[in-house]
Amino acid sequence: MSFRRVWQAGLFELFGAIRTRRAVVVLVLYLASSLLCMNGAVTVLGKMESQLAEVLHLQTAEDGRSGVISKTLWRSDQFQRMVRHVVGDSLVYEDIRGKHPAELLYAWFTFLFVPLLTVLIAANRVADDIHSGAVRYMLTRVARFEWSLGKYIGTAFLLAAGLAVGALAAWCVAAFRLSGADIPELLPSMLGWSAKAWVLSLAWLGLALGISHVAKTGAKATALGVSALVALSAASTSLTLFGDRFAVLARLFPSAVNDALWRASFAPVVSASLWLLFLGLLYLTAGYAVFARRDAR
Amino acid sequence: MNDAIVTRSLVKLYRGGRALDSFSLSVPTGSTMGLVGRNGAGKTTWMMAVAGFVLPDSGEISILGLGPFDADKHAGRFAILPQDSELPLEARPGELLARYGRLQGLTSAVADREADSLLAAFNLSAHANKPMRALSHGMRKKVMVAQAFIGSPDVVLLDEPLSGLDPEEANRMRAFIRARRRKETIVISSHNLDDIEKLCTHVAFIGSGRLERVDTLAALTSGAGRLVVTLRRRPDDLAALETLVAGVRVSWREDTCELTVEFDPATAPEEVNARLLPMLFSCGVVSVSSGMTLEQAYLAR
Repeated sequence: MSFRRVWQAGLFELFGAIRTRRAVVVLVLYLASSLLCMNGAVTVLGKMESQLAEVLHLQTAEDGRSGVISKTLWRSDQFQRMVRHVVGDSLVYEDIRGKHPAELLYAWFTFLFVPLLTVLIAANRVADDIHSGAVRYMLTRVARFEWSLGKYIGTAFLLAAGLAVGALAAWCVAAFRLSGADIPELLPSMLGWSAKAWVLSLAWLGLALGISHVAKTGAKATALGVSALVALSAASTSLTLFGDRFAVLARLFPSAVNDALWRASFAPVVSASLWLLFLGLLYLTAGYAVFARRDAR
Repeated sequence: MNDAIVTRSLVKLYRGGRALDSFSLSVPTGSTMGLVGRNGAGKTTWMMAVAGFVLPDSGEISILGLGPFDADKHAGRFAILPQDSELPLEARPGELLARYGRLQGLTSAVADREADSLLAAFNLSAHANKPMRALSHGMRKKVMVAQAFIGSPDVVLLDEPLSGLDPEEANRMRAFIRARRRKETIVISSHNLDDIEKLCTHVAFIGSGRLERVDTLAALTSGAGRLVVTLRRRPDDLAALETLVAGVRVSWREDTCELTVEFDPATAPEEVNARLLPMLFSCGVVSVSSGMTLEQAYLAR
């Protein structure tokens, strides 16, 4: 395997995404979903704040923007106890306590939607090229696995750009609608959560591209990808009902390591990231193994 | 090494049967080989198997003496114009060719230069920055052929390179391929036997997944042991003609009014003519030729 050819194949994929305006679609998708989700979250936050202010006879921010009371509420012992109960994992709770509610809301909906967006964006990438015959212009220049890995790398770059735009859009909404002196500090934090969501997307990207190697057409690959996403998420949730009995099996599902990405300390995040990358490459290689034994026609 | 491509006993099974049935063919280095056969004969499957797109069930393939296609050994040295394969529709020909060049190991500067030079050769320079989607079918075809020649690979397979081109562009394409013949070993698959005759030094007749005959074009179309007499009307007694010279066989083609006379190649054609032609004067002799077109050779195989 030549890393130069893999890199060139990745650039080819990225260049194709820009030319086909798929890149624009991805960026708009992330931008729109971030804007909508963040705006919705801030609205909910504002309503909570208004009600709280009414009940407790507190003063809201002078500019009418929300955020001040929510933050006070978030830091209150009663609320923290409730959050601790909801989070479940005490280590995760310790790491996220004290963080701005807007930042956590952004992290939550990013982690929630990234798998679906990744599958929707990537699932047809291999199947479409095989179906149209475009793959044949590549396969006398790079090896099949180099091409597959190039697709993975090129699409991963695209997702990174989408998530960065998403963080920026969410921060803009926060800056516009929330009050508080710490809003500028939210931008690096939100970019950090985007980076973690990108790591999570690497596993789902491997799954989507792996399935794409097996499907006959892009449409079938997308349908299979979404089905696999639902099935894996359901299976992962079901396995948690059995406690630690299926802990090893559960780790084969990306959602099982989600919690580690919420941590602030270096070690659990790095080990979860490496595991997610491994899972992504494992899914990709499984799909490739079928493609390697299949005619590219 | 004398053969750029060697394939031995290739078998490819599809649900409908055997696309390649113990197919063996060697392509001499520096030659231009034409593949001729009816639809479904196995020409495209053979090309796809050599390129590694189709995985044969058994048999051996070696390109440039280095075994079957392997990107480490063959990238940049082997190229193909595949059949029924679309290039990315939003890509620009100039960028696309340069990127293909970079993929196969050319530096950016060389890849850009090669792309420009090929676009100029195919009369596409004015369309270098238009999306493929905006180009006509013929122009797209030219870009597809051009990509096969980036970096001057040693071996190029062209599946129907002239289909869809207007006569002027087809002529330009023929001139381009002829000019490249000495640089590259080229294999062309086409249903247009006139094109094969104009471009190829060697020809392989393929039928039902098997190689029927392979030889140089000169040998296939030579007149040794064969005469074609064009007449105004059919001779009354064909059997009587066969008694005139020992070992002669005659056949009549009504649509072209051609009498084909086959005889022992050791026999001088003058001798056959001397005995046969007087018997044919009454039928109106239009012409006598000793050679044959590739089409005639193919139909007479």
